[in-house]
Amino acid sequence: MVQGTQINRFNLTTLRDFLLRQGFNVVLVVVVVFYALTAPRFFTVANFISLLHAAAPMMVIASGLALVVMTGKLDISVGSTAFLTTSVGTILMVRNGVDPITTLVILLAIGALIGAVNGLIIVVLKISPLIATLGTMIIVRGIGLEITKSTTISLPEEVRRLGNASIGPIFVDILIALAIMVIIHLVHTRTSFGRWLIALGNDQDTAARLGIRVNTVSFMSFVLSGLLATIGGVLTLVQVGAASPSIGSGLEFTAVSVIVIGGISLFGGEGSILPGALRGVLILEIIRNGLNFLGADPYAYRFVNGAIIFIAMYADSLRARLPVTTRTFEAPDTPKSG
Amino acid sequence: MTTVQGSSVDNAGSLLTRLRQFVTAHRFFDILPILILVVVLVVLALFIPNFFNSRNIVNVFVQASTLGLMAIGMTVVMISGGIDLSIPSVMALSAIFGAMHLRDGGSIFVSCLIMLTVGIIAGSINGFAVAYLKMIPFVVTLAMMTIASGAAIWVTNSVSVPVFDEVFFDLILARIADIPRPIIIMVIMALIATLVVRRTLFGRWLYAVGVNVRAARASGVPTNLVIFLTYVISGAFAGLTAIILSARLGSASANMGNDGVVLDIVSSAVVGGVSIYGGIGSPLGAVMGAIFITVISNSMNMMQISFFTGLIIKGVVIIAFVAFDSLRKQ
Repeated sequence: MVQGTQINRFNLTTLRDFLLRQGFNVVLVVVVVFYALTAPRFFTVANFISLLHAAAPMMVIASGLALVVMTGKLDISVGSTAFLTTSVGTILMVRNGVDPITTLVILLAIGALIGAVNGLIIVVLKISPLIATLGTMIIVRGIGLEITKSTTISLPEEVRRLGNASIGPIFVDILIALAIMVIIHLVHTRTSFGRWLIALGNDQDTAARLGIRVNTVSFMSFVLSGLLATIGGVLTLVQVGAASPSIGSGLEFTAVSVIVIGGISLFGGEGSILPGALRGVLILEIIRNGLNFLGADPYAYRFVNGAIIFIAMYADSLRARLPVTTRTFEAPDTPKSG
Repeated sequence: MTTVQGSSVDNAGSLLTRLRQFVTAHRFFDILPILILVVVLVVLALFIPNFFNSRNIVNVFVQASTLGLMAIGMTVVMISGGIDLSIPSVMALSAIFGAMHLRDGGSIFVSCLIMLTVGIIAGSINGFAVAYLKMIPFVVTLAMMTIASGAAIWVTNSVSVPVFDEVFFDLILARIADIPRPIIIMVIMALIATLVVRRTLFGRWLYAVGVNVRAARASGVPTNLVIFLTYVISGAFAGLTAIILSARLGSASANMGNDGVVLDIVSSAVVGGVSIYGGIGSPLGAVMGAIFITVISNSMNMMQISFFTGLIIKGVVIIAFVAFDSLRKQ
């Protein structure tokens, strides 16, 4: 009898651990199966390609933000960065006739600069990353609205055509986004910089004592985040075909949700780009895409998003309390020391 | 490349350490915010002749009253070491539910009750998640912000709900001795809140939790309850603000709680000397901060500086104040 309860309890614990570890994968499978059964045109190759197409900018932005979050910090200026750089780019091309390649280089420089400013404010002035990037988020958006006068500016025709560029049936921006994710994944798992990020996220003081230049690593993570937010913004810009104030608005909050749903802990030191961040992007995009097919009230999206974030956060907080051994098991990508 | 940047960053760091020592060593810096306010006011008096006209002053204070009330709620949460990003969207959602009740012929009293209740319910959910489920305040309230504004958009289809009720307007907006009631409500609430945090047991617990949760728990403070209550209080303030703002605007809409408002609230609190690291600050300070932020917006309006440049200036002000705050306290 006593033995029976013990076995029972043991099974319940393993089930709970399994759900916590695989929770988001379970959600992903359930959602896909549900939509496949209820929305006939959901489970088609064409729809998956268009889904990836829509998700491409977020894949890039989330990869950058993930690097910052892994150090236990936060960058909520990514949406504004995407907005400002795309506005500057469009104005350069349309009004000043700068060619697209030069424009792209200038934009990347601006994005990196915004990231560098964030990094400096946080590292040097020791301001909480949340408040610092909240400040730069307002400033950067203000600059963007000022130079565009809050209007929508269309891209030149030949650049706009790039938005539908595809190799066979697959859009080029999907390939770009996936390539960037793979690169960031390799940076995270195969380089010493990646290891330092995780060390910082686990315990900044210990990392500093081990001789890691914590300030430089934090600084670089913000620069990369600014850079990738810019690339994500450019992908959005080309898809939309015009720079508009709606680009990047509210995007920082979506990006944070993606990170959390992707199993990257906001406490830092944990999580992966592949499959983590990618999974986060896909879950949110699939839910949105499927709701669309089901003819749900578009006004309900934001509500559903909020509910998903809440559940994801709850699971995250539970997982943070699991024993360390299970956590190591959860994140096989965590590189060994040395 | 990284080494070069690293060393320059580190150099800047050591320079900052010296600056920090200088700042902490001089009492002068304690009154710097007040000094800045005085300078700003003098500049305003010189450049905008109409600014100190009594109608404009009353106008500024009425505008500041709603921001101030929300900043009081935020302050209570921030003293305990948390943050509540959901205040504006919860405020908008409560205003919408109350306004719908009023539109459908409900009584004013019940409408106001609905607004307060919605705020308190949302606050309780936040508080429960943070205090008992141990979720991170930033993300809990971020989720609540998305849920509440999502619900607000969903319920209204992004159309604003009109509030046409002369009795309601009179009740909320009437003047007592030439001072509109919103200002009086704000001042009274600021005083009550300041007394509560400074003179009651709850207040002492609040600061204790903000300074060090573990130490507070070890000395017998019911830390979970205190944290839970801070979010309930901020939710209640969101509801109270909803009542005043829906009367002032004559409508309720999802846009009342747009993302810009939360930034104004955080700025008010921070400018008013509330530390985002917890344990420091007072509601009265936050209300001062709210007035300061409103004065900035209002004067930039009168100087015909564009709204967008205003955003830039606000962002710089926030970072400057927090930088100053962290210089002083480390």
